[in-house]
Amino acid sequence: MAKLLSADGIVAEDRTWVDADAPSPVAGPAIYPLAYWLAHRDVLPADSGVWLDVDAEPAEFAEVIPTLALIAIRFDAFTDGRGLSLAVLLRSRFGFRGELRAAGSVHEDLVHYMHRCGFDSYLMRDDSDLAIARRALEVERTTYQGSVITPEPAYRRVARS
Amino acid sequence: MYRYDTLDKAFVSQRVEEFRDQTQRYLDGKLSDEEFLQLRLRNGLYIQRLAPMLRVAVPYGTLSSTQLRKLAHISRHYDKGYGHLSTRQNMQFNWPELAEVPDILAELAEVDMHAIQTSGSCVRNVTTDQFAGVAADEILDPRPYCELIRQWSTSHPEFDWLPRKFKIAVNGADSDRAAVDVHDIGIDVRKASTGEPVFDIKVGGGLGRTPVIASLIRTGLAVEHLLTYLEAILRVYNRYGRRDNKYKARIKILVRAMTAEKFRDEVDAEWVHLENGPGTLTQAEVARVCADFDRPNLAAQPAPAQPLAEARIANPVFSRWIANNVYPHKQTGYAVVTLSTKVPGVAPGDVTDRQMEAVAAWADRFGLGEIRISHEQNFVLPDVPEAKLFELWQEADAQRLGTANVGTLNDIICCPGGDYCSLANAKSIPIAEALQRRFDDLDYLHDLGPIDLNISGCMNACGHHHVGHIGILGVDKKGAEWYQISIGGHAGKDSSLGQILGPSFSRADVTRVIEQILEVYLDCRVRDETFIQCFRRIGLEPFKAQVYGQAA
Ligand code: SF4
Repeated sequence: MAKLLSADGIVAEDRTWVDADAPSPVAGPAIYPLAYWLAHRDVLPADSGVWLDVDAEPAEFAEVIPTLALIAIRFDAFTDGRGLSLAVLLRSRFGFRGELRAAGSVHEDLVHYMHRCGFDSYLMRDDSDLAIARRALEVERTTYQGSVITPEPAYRRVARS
Repeated sequence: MYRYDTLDKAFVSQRVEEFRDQTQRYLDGKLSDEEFLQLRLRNGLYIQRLAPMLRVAVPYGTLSSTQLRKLAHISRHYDKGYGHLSTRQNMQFNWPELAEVPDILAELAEVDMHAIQTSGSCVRNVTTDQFAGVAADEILDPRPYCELIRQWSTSHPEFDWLPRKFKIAVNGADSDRAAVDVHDIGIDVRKASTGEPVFDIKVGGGLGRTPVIASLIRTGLAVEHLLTYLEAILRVYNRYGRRDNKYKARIKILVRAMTAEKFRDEVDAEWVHLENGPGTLTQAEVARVCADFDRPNLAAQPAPAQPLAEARIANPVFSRWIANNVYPHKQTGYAVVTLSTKVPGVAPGDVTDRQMEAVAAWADRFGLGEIRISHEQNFVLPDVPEAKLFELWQEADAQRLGTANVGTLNDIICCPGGDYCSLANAKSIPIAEALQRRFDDLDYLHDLGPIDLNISGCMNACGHHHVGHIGILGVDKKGAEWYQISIGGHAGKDSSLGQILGPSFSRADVTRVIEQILEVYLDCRVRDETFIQCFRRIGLEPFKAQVYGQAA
């Protein structure tokens, strides 16, 4: 069972992940492949989540984005930065206000960057050290750029001299 | 130069601690090789053929005498007593112990230095003209903008995991010493008619397997929009650049696949959302960073006791050094001096701790304590009083840093190649060495005039062979080391890529082939035509005929 790191700390995975191969409705909270959810959203519970691959085009389903309770972005490799740009777009351009979850290959040393791109929960691999990930999120960090969580860059936030 | 404020200092020391923790977890077996590889690359640490290699960032090639002394200390204490000036204006150490790297980084942080993003698929050290701020032909000092870009791109949460490495260069002079045309993003800064700085942005240039000259996609961008426009470019590249094949992952491939017009349209469509947003630069921030680069007024210089002309007549070697290694300064009475690292028997760009200490001392005595590293792998002293040139030259000569060969055939740009680099097809340093031994006659070099000879050990082109007037590339032929030679490349305002002469050569033949190429030039040149001008007039054929014989 994968572990979930969220604002509530380290908790058990709280939703069923429905794969894209043969998706079907499941009992209880779940995360469905986007295409399946789009086709069946009338019959699925309103708080269902959807998951996207890192190369998803948010413009293609822009109108539903603000209505979604949860979007998960699935990383095949933690080095694939497309998921980071996708997160930034969902948050800053497509009005997504629900929970943004990183899944797949999520590295504990990168969660603090992901947080700044707008993620709020991380479905970690079984072998991940969640204590390290949690600590990474807790450390106060000095940053230069603006980001989803702090749009102002350092020079608009603090007096520099 | 830029002075770190409390925020910069806090950032760097946090990064040191983060890396110390990552290194410890790796040594404890808690991070796999593959994981640690990605993390250490973001901190300039490679594991090379023989040992780790740490690449220390020298932002846009500017450093202080204090910083250079620290580098000398590090080379002595943690390495074998030397460092290597890279073709991206950085300093590399070839023999550090992995477990000691966090300590090296902590020492660097004491003098406001680091190794952040000097490797890995992220925005690399921003490079520029090594004569920035002092060159007589400068329009605007590009370094404040390099620094603004450095801060924006450092540990960027969205752009630290790009498809491939990403290199930005900025130029602010009439001549282009930053080679902006062969960078992922090349920026020319110039003055608008209002006197305000404006930026022309080119994308998709690069060397490597597929050399391409960058395409201009935006002209006259105002300074406040610089970072948001770069953000738009990086976002388009991060989302659409290829990730399935690392040889096709650079932005140049994306720009070519989309066409430059389409790419520009995508960037503009993205930028619409960012323009005037929170990422817009404030006047105060631009002014703060620019102020750090204001040139102090240099004292007016008394007429030298022995006028330069007299010293030159009395000493022809000194005269040659003035002609080749000294560049005009903005302010009369001062000169910009290049200290050549290119002497036979020493790999281009290798400098000992004692040489570093000497250069730091000269920077204090003959200038404002500032030093530059050029992408030609030499040191530059930017503010030398003309009256001190002779004294400096004598001392530099004693430290083997006074060779009068800058810009000549002997001023070879050379990557570490097969001696150090695990990606190499062939060694490059022995080729440079053989050529430097063969062409060591300064009179002959002077007669040949400006010739850039660049050597890379493989297609990654760290030695910029495509833009050498003569380029040498290491290739693998059934497991043996061979060398492909090209002619006609050029880096500068009228950049061009070299054309391949023909089938490659064994190491033993390279020197002979270069001799033949030079013979053709000397036979064909008209009056004071330079090598590249001559090549552009006569083309490749005469060189081919000479080297391969009429049959080829
Ligand atoms: S050009 Fe090739 S051999 Fe030379 S340093 Fe770069 S990767 Fe290594």
